[in-house]
Amino acid sequence: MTSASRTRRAALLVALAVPSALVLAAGPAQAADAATVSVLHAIPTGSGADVVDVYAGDALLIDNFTPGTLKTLEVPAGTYDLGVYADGETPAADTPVLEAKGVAVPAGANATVTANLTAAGAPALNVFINDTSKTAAGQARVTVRHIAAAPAVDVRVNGNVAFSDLTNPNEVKTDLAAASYQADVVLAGTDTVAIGPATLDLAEGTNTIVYAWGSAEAGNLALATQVISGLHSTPAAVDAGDGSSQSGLPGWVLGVAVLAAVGAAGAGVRLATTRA
Amino acid sequence: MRRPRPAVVVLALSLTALGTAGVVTGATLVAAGSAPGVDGSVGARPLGVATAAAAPSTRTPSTTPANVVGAPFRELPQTPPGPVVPPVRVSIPSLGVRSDVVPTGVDRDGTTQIPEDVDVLGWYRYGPAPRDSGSTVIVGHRDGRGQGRGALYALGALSVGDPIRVTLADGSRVDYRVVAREVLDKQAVPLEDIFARSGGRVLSLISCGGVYDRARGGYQANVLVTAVPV
Repeated sequence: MTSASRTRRAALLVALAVPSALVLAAGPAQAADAATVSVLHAIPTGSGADVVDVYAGDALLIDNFTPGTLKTLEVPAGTYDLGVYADGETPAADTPVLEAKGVAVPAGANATVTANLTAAGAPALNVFINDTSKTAAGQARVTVRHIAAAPAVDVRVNGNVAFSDLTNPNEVKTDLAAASYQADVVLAGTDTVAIGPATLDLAEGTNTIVYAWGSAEAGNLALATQVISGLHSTPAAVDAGDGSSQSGLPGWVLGVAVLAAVGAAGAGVRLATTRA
Repeated sequence: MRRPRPAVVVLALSLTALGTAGVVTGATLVAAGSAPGVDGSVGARPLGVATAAAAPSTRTPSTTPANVVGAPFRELPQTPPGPVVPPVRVSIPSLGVRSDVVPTGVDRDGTTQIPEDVDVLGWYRYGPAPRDSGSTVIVGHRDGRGQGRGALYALGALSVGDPIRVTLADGSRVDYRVVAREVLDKQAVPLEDIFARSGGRVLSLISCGGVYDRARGGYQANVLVTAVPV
């Protein structure tokens, strides 16, 4: 690593002001004392964090992490000091590029930590709670997170503005019918396309999280996607018939009628037998 | 974009104050942090993030060798779902049934969508297909006005051991044999089991049965036949 980039990287040091930043929502199907933490590297290439290592305390969490990649980890519940270090550097010997101290990770939590640019273009760590509540049968959830060095945007779905005036580092979300949608990101209040259009396949029972990341100034705005599955619910019922084969009579009436007919036939047979 | 809700932040902080994670129930968090707004969307923001530039480092470059990711952290594989091969035909020799199968989903009222044509069966397309783990659900109307009896009208007459053959979209076939036949009151139908998306591979054939009571919403029971691959 060159000294120039080292200086730049060091200047990017970030601390979380609130040590309790990571308070997370419960996710399904987890070990009793485990949590799910995803980490997204969303600092564009050339910003001083091209290849980094992510540490939790002194333990290596992610090795050789590069821009645009997402890692999902199962971690024991606990409180962590997260640090992003230049490739090969360590908490014991070095100063992090970015850090978040005292991050509380409760059991069953599901969150995503993003290393990204602020609207103004400075690297930062953000913690998002992922909504893992159940989706209704046939529905999917979409979450859009603005973590790009870019102004406010609108998100259009199938040509219509679905979310307006989304700013870094915020998110919007909604549940909608599971299907394939065309989405793009435009500068808020305009038709000027910043990202896309892209096809979003929203699978039933998932939370598809779309990140708008990169830098408008550098011309490298892009989308990254994270999918959390297993949120589905069952249909309410199986109503399979309109009763038209039941002659409009309650079933028990038919049953009695059948029994009566069988009984009459049986009596007839017995009578015939006797006569024979 | 709505501003962050104070209630969310306050809750987050108080939860952390509780200390150990075991005390915190995720359900409370979800309810508080995810309450949908009137427009169906939620404005949220990452909690407690601030940035501060630090003084330039004066360290010397590290010579630490590459580390290895290990316990207690475990990277979860990013496994995209495999190709799904839908069922297209069901054959039940003992009932004389040979019916086409179309993908179905959910009706507006949240109930399982069932093909209008009573001769056609529906495969719950959000759940497993026959080659996947879990329960492949195939439904059919018992009857329909002007159409008479449906393909699954006599489902309740199937016997344990009866064969069922399902043909898939790629032309391959999966043969099943019946292991259970139940008539279940609609209030007691184990929907979670029938629509299970994991576990052993089973075929769940469902229609209606029992008493038809228009005043109480129609058929009062479901006929459920469960079959396993041979």
